[in-house]
Amino acid sequence: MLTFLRRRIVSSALPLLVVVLGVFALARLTGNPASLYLPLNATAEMRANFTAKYGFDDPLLVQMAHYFGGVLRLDFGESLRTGEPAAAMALRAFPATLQLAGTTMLLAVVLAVIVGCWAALKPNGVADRISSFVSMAAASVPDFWLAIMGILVFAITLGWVPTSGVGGATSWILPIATLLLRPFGVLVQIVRGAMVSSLSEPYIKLARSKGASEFRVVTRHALRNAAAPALTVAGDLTVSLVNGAVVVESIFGWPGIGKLMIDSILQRDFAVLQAAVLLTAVSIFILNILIDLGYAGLDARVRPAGRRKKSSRAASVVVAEPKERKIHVQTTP
Amino acid sequence: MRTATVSVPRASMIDDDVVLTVTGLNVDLRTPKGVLRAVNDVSFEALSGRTLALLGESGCGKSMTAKAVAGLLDPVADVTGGTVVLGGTDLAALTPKERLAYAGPELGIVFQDALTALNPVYTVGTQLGEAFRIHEGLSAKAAKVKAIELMRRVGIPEPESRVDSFPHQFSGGMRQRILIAMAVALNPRLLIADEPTTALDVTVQAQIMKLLRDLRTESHMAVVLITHDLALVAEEADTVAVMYAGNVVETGPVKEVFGTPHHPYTRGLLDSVPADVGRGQDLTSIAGSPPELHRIPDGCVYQSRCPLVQDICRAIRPTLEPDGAGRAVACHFSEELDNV
Amino acid sequence: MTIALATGSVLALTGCSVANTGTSSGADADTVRIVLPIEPTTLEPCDATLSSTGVVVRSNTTEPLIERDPTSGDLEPLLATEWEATGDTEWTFTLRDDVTFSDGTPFNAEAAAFAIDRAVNSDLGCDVEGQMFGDADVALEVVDDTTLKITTEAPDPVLPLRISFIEIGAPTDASAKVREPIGTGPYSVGQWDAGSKLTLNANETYWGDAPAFATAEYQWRSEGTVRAAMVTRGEADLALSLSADDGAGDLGLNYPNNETVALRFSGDIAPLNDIRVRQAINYAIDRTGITDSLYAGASVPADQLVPPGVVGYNDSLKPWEFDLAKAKDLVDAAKADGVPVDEKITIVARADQFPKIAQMTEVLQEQLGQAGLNIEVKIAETSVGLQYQVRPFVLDEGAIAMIVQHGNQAGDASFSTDSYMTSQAQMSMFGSPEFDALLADAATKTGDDRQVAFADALAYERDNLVQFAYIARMSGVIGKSAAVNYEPNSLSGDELRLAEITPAS
Repeated sequence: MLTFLRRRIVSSALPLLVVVLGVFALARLTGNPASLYLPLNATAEMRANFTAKYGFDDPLLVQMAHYFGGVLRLDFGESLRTGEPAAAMALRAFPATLQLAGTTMLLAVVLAVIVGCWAALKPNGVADRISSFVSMAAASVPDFWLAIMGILVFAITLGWVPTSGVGGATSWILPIATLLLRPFGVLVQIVRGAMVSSLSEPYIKLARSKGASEFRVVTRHALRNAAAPALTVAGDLTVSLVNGAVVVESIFGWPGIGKLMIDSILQRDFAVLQAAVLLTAVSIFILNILIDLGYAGLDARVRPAGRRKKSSRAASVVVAEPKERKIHVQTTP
Repeated sequence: MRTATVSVPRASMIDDDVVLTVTGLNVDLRTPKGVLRAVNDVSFEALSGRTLALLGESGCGKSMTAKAVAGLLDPVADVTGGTVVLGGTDLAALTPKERLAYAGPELGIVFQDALTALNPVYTVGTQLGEAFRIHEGLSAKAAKVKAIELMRRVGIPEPESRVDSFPHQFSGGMRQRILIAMAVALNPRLLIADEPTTALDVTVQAQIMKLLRDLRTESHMAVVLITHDLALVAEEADTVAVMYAGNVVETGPVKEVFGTPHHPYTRGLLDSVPADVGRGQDLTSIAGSPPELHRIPDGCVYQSRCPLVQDICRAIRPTLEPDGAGRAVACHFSEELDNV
Repeated sequence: MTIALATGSVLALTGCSVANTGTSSGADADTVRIVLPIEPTTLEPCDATLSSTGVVVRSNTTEPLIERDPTSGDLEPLLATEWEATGDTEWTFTLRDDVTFSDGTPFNAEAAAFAIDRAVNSDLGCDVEGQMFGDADVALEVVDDTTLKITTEAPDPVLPLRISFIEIGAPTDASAKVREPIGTGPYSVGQWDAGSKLTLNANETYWGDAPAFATAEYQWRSEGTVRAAMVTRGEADLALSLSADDGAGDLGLNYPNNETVALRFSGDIAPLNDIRVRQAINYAIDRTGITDSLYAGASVPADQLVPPGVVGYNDSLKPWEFDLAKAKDLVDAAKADGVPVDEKITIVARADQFPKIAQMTEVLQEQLGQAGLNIEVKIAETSVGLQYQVRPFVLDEGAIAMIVQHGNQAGDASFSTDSYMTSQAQMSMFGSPEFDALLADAATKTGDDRQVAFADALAYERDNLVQFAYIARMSGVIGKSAAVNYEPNSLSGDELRLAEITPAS
């Protein structure tokens, strides 16, 4: 298990490094903070002072060396906007996003399992129709539009929930509903598909031949097998929630890492952007490892320590191998 | 959701009691081409301590018959007629929920492909113990003890250390032993073995068949062996029911049926086996192939391949006629067969 | 099930701190709730010329010595009671003697001198320095507690106007900015939950009249639709920076925000280096069509860079008439003289700089194309757009017509011409020595002479240079709930005086 972990860590750390380097370079190559932070009519001397003060006139590689030197000493730099330590800003914003994304994924998984199982058991039934509709909507409706329509309908017209902000429990409803649609739409199809194929596997008949009730068959035998592909996809979806969080947090005024990131990009607040990306990348990295562990926990066949029999029949066994997950963080709005 | 343990008094522990009586069993399939009859008017009996073989080519309905008896038909298949009386209860008349109480304690089934039939994500111990947890309400710990006993009973070495292994960590033969152990866990009166050795190589086949034989003798089970292997039938079974296109065309004691077949299909099967081959050979050498389900003709189901076919065969389907001496055949010209 | 457990524990680990930061809705008679487009990055008084900071800070937590009336343009006393020029380069300010900062520190000439010195002469990189003073420093002399002398490097007739932009914070660290300053204003900073909410409380020891609301609560939402919705639903009393289609409906108040939208030409790059092409563009633009169709009449065609009310505004200038035939003739004439009129001209716009900028860009592309010009369009994110707007310019992409929006909030044309018109100005792409001389001369004048000199210079630009095609004078929309009274003015987006907001009942 330790070698397995070590291998995962090494193979995930490389993309992580690439992401951080990419963000570092891209942000710098596409905009000069001096024109953003100084008044439009600032003099050349003021610009020169500003650029020199923050070292933006150094070659990119020198800036990188400086930055990563700082990172090694756990110094992530300071915000150009507020002068606060960048790490503090990222860490302060992180829990809000974690709560939002965590609650969303929890709900998405629970709902997708319930609706997906139901749809698998009753093809063309109510749940099957609902899940197809939601999946289609999720694939075609932009988060932005959904959020605004949600506000207009449920906050303004119906008055059920606040428009935005981080007040009481009701203020969670719209942001979560907006974020929920896509992961739910994808997951419910995955669960449905995995359950359909799992339910047609011979081991389901074996369970029934032992007198297992329908509930036991579905929850113990079919779902446990369907869980592995769903887990992989859920992990990917959690990663892509970062993108959704940018939109949703901006619109609903949710003080999370997505909002911090987009603001930092638009303002070329390099240190904060890098800290936010680094924190996100590290948490995605940790998530990946947790998923791999969970995956191994679900299915002994992917446990690397296990003795693996290479038989011709093994090839026909329908098990999705844990696929390589990429860390993708959107760098433009 | 635990079902109460069934306490139907067990029939006397002696051989030759009638355990299972299937009468006029029909199974229909709902397909895009309409409703098709996959099993038609099938009747047979299984006796305690004896083996009945359901013999036929693939697609002849033998496996469907077994699943109908076990209550494990796919959702598109329905039992539309007949009775399946096991130990005095007509299983076909029960709701799926009521049947759960019989699955295990009364009736066990051994599947063909042990790798896919075993759930890959649970240890064999968990899966072996499941029957005890469901029907006897045992704790996980107690069920594991039972699982180890079962593994020992079916001849798996070092059961204590292997009980926590996963199916993929066992060889094919061992997996098949585990499946058999699961089927006999609660000492059912009836054991259905659906092509139990097809996936195994010849030496392992022999071991598995010996195990089944020993278990049958030990606990006086009735065994229904589903197979396409004539040699296996000849060696293992007491009686045989030959199936073709969803119908039983001939039944009787194996020695008699194989010695003097009364149905041209049985005859064809026997003729197609060269004298020097053993078990495991496919039946391929009767000219033509069985009709697809939606093309089964009105008259005799075997008419298109039968060397004796006459007009009456095309008009009237022969019924299975007992000869009063333990054999039965469904053919208008069974007497003439000997003269061909 | 394992997945559910894992996600569940994530939730449990992080607790519920976000949910517990208090309720945002729920009207309170003592609180005025304002929703801004963005969170202030800082409340530092020397950065109050940044709109996002100024709208919260100016005349609320801190005050300047002098304030400018946004409607009349007159300078009025605030922390200074009077001021006068006491020499060519020297101004003397007399300060109030009854003011203390909200922490009890007395306000006096010493404190004022400290604040001005810190804002103008230090290396802090204060925004007000860049906006109003440039590289020039000022010398400060504290005569007594209520008298302050300010000496400039060169004669500066508009120094009091510049001084009106310096918010006076309590003496603090001269070498670092402060996020939450102490001031003399009617409010002081209460609680700032970074990311979600900022509260100001009435200053108990305020020297002037107590404001109507005991508390002011700021939130921020990036979407105009959401800000408008918050006012509609009663979650906020005022919503700033709305546009006409954000859905505020009857609750939206239109007000002229003094912003002028114009196309700024790269007059050294062909084909824009020919004045006839620049004139043709002016004739080709249907300004009334734009203001009527895009802004439903809430904006008007613009005639010059500065709006009425600013010293130097020339009221004899009228918007260019829409005359496509004349435009085509001018293009043809230029072409006949060998001007490469077929070379592309790129209209560059900064995304989301003002409402409907993208649509305006499309309309301009189409109208200029009809005059026979080869127009391309580039809509860029702010930081990229600024590379076209501010020196050092992007010069290798051919002729550029940049859409700029300029608001002269100082009330004197020199602040506009110094940034956009002199040939070396940070945002000017070309000029002429004659024009530079006219502007330099005008800058030294005072009173009526100043008005006339700048007005003449602006007419000169139009007749002889055509640096710009002025398009529209914009208006802003503020959403206001029925619960409060407030009259927006041209400064409301930069300086929202809480003391001017009163309960409706």
